[in-house]
Amino acid sequence: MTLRTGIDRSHVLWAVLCLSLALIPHAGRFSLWLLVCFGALAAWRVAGEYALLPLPDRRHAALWVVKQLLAVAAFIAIYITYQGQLGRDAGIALLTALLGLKMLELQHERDYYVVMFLAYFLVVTNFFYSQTITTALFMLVIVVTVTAGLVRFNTSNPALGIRACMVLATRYVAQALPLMVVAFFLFPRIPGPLWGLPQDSGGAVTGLSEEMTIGHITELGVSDEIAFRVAFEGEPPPARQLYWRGPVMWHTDGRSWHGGDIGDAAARPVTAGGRTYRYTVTLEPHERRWMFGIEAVTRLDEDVRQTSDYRLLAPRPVKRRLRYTLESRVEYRLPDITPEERAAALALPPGAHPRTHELAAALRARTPADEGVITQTLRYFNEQAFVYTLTPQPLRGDSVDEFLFNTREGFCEHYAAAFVTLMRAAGIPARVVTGYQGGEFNSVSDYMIVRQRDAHAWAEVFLAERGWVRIDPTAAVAPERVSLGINEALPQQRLLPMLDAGSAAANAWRQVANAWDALNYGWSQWVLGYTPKRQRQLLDDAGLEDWDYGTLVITLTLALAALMLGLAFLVLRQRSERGDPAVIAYRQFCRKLARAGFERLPFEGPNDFARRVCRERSDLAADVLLITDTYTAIRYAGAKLSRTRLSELVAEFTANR
Amino acid sequence: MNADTAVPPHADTLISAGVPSAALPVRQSLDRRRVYIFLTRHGFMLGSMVFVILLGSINYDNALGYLLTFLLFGLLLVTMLHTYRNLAGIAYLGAEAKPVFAGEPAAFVLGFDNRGKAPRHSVGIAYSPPRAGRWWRRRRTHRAVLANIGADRLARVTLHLPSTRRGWLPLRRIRLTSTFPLGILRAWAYFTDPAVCLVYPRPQGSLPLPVDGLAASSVMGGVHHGHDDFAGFRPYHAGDPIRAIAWKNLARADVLLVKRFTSGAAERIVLAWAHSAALADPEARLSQLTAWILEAERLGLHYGLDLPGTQIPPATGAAHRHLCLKALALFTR
Repeated sequence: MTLRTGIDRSHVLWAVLCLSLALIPHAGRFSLWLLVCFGALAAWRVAGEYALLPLPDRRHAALWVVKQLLAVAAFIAIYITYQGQLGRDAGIALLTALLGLKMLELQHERDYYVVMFLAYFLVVTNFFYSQTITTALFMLVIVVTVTAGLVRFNTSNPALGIRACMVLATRYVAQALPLMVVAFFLFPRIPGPLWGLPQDSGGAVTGLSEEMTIGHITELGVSDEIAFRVAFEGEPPPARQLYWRGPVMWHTDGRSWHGGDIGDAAARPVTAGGRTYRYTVTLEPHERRWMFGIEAVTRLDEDVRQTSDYRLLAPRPVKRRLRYTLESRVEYRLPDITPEERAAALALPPGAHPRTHELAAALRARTPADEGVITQTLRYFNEQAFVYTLTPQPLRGDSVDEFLFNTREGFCEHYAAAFVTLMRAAGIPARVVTGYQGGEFNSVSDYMIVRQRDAHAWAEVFLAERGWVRIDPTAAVAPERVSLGINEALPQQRLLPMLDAGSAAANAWRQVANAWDALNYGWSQWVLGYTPKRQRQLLDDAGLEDWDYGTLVITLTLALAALMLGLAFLVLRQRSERGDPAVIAYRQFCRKLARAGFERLPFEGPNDFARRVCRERSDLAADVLLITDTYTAIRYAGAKLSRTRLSELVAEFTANR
Repeated sequence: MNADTAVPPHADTLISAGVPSAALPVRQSLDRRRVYIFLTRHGFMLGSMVFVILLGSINYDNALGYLLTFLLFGLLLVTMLHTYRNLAGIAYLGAEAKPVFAGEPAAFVLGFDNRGKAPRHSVGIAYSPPRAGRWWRRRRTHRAVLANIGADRLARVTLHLPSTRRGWLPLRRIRLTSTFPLGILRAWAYFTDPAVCLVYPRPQGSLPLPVDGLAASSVMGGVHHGHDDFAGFRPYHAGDPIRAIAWKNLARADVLLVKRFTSGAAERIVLAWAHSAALADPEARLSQLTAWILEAERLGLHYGLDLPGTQIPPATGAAHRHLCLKALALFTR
């Protein structure tokens, strides 16, 4: 029963621990000096607690000045490090520096609360960078740890150590989880942003680019990152039809290819037949506008634009996960070419690729028909010693000539670029199409994952009778790339290196990986992709018609109230004294003694009472002590089995002798 | 309101018994109507921070930001239950206090009974008399004593109240507060209690013991050397009659001792209201009488009290002393 005064050492240590823990995910993002400074400040504070170093408090005015100077220095250093740009990174760095200094002046109750609440807040800053399941679990860990610190601070009971506080905090957080889930789904979602995003919100993202430089897709070829996931309604198309169309390249300078504005006009309708495939794509953010669909997309959402070269464009760059539903048909005919398009699709840089022009002329001489030239070219790729590899020799000089006649090693982009160049040289309009090909079905959950390594480049040629026709020159070199996917076409190397592909362990590993990805997919569907649009859709599906924000607020309140009622029942349920047979028996014992003149006083514990009775009635001492000991053993030492024994003893007991 | 007039009938027996009374009628238990709960300063701080996180989550459409917002919000709601639970169901068993002299702190010993299965942590218990006047003038709070009451345990808590004047000092009302577990919410509840503490007048005054008040048969006659029932020595105090000093002993041991006699007749003294007539203020006169009673008791004299309207025949001992002091404490003209 003492009065707590201020903060003691254990509180300080715990606060330092909470802050350090909350900063761990940022450790890799900060400049080294900031990490070192924070560590030094933490060490200073801890050393101060053990009286090894003086702290900047009232007794050490000089140190107080030092602290103020440090704060100014931190401002300047952050300004220089982030070049005056107060964006997300600089903001977090500033917060960290100030928290480091705040640790030093952790003296009053108020400081402690501020620091602990800011530790909660630090968790949020991490969400700018990562929103994975792991991040969410880490959030739980920090919330529990900080909460435990608050519990510890609010009890003066020495028996309630930090471990017991962790248990209590875990219980509180666990009880808060259902409330969190309900609020998450029912809280009316307002489409943001309210005031704009920071300038530096997007980091470097892997994915296709507007330009196809030889070697770029090769980089993607080793990336396991997910480009998008697809859920099909019904049967998916066969693997060889899974061409996910992305940026289309019209122009070349002989080395790299790029899109240009030639294909930016509005799309003309596609003539399509055969089965209709309907599917929902969840696209990972890639900071560009394009979206992916199976060739050819026949129906799309209103806000998605389809260009004249059949790219899909989102209204603005995809900075967050995007979900959209499309319909595609794989038997299709694209409309006729315009004169401008024809001119662009035949253009080659003047003077480049002399040997390629010679080859094209030779092929053209052999057959007058365009189809014949194409077949000859593909046969050329197939019959000559072309190799499909992720690690081709570097190309020097005229890259197309070098590839076609010297190295003959390449990835899809090499083949697509060389093929389109050959076609144009032979007078056939052609363009390069980039995108993804194939995809991997997750056997745990029913959806397809398309990864960056599925990135692909192919060609489209214009034939007078058939319109634009897709030709995949890679298929001529490595047919399994298209029919079976990239994993089969390249030697197995992405699984754990020590596992043999096809072994039981490798299969088990793949199963685990699939399960983990299925979890991630659910996460992105239900948590990350839970946008205002999705909420509307979900509530419509749930049969809540004509709902508005008002009804949503009422529903949320009612749901929370119901949960609170349930929790209240759990938390406030108290053991009824009346129900415990030991208490009933002991009361009976007390009544018997009361009749003999020994009233148990309100302040008297059973043992004190027994001692008083024994002092005056030594003849009863043996019985009284036995009953009291049995009773206290049941009540305070959990000896539940002695209950019937106690009742018997009390029944036999008599004070009137 | 004059506190002196509101004296419960059992108060006297409570004190003279010297032990807590089993017949104490007070046993109050906190049910849900009596526990109040509200955010603390820190709760407001956390609440505003959660609101800021919510705004950020909306702006950046950050799913995990939403999750944290609602987790902390849920924690706030859950804490409400736990904060409430920390007080609800505590039974108050009443209080008792031994008499004190005015100016000394009155120590009320309060009994609490936690009949719940969960321990109560850091329950702050404070003297909290209801105050009149506007609420912003009523903010004076008394220091709280923190108590941890284990599951199914009793606890005794001592509250010290300042006693400024003689009479009955009522406990009136106590306040239980708790910010456990997170300090963001405060639950509080009141117990009213008619328990009182008897406050004797402050012993004060420089007038010597009224020797002329001694009965004619005792000191004045100078006959005490002829008595047989000599009871021993005790140290000399200012005001001791010179005749009682053991001069022989002084010569031997250089210590001033006084001979004590057990004969009642020799040391009877009646302390009368009139003896303090030199003092004008009635409170000062009561203080002087109090000081005399303590002095007489210390000297082992048999003393009586003669107040207007109250006469107590000479006697000695703790009970008698209490009777006299109580008469002084409650004296009204």
